Amino acid sequence: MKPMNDNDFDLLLAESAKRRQSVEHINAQVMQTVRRDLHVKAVRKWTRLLGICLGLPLAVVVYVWVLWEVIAACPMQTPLRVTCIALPLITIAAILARNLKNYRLDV
Amino acid sequence: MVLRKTDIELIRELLHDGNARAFETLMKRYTSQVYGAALRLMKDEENAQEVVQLAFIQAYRQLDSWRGENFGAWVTIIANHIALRMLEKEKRRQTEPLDENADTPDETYNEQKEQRLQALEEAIEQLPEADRQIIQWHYYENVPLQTIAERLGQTENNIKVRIFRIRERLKKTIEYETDER
Repeated sequence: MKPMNDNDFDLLLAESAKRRQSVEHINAQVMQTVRRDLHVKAVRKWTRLLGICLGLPLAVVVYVWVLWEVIAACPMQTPLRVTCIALPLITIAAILARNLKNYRLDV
Repeated sequence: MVLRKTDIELIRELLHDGNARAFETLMKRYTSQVYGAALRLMKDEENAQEVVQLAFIQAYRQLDSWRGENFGAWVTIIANHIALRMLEKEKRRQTEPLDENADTPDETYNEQKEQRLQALEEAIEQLPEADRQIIQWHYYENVPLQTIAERLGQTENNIKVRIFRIRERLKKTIEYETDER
């Protein structure tokens, strides 16, 4: 490769300065997208957490209340009533336990 | 002495703490390298910039599939794929016969220049902090010599001598590096 004189070196530095501007422009554009993505991810994470903490218990309470009202209105013996409430509750508890076990806050 | 964080540490910071600055540091480390590779394929600065942007965004969104190899090399591979796809698309789009006056890609790309640019970037990175700062001010921010001298509490002549020495050192390193490649 031919040796570099002062003029070549100055041109290279000028080219390098120009390259840095391009690189800075690229970095700024990409970081804008990355920050937006991170923001969306954070919002989604906390919305999910809120849904799990408040939404799930609320859904369970409403479901149990409706179930209780329906069973209370039906003429049946106490052991049968207890079984009718307990069975769906155990199923719900199992589903919830499985979902909560797999729940990850950072996803 | 400030320790330079490894790529893995930075990506861990990004994934675990959502620290965007970690990705910014990674980008600063590798954008020039990826840009050089994209320019080699695209032969056009505007398209090369687009390719690099897309490559880093894709890399960010697919960080889970990164296997811990050199991050710059990984993003360069992504950029190459994107560039080839773009070129392929462009080729298919050109169904009309080629017009002699049609826009041709910018042929300013030059392998030797690119190698020297990469070598210069690396050589500047390896300079002592104070010398790097002088180069940054003088050549990249066009700060007058007098201002640099005032900032460093030295005479203008001293700064001129220092710049001359740094230039010589950089030139030698670049020549050595480019001959090695």
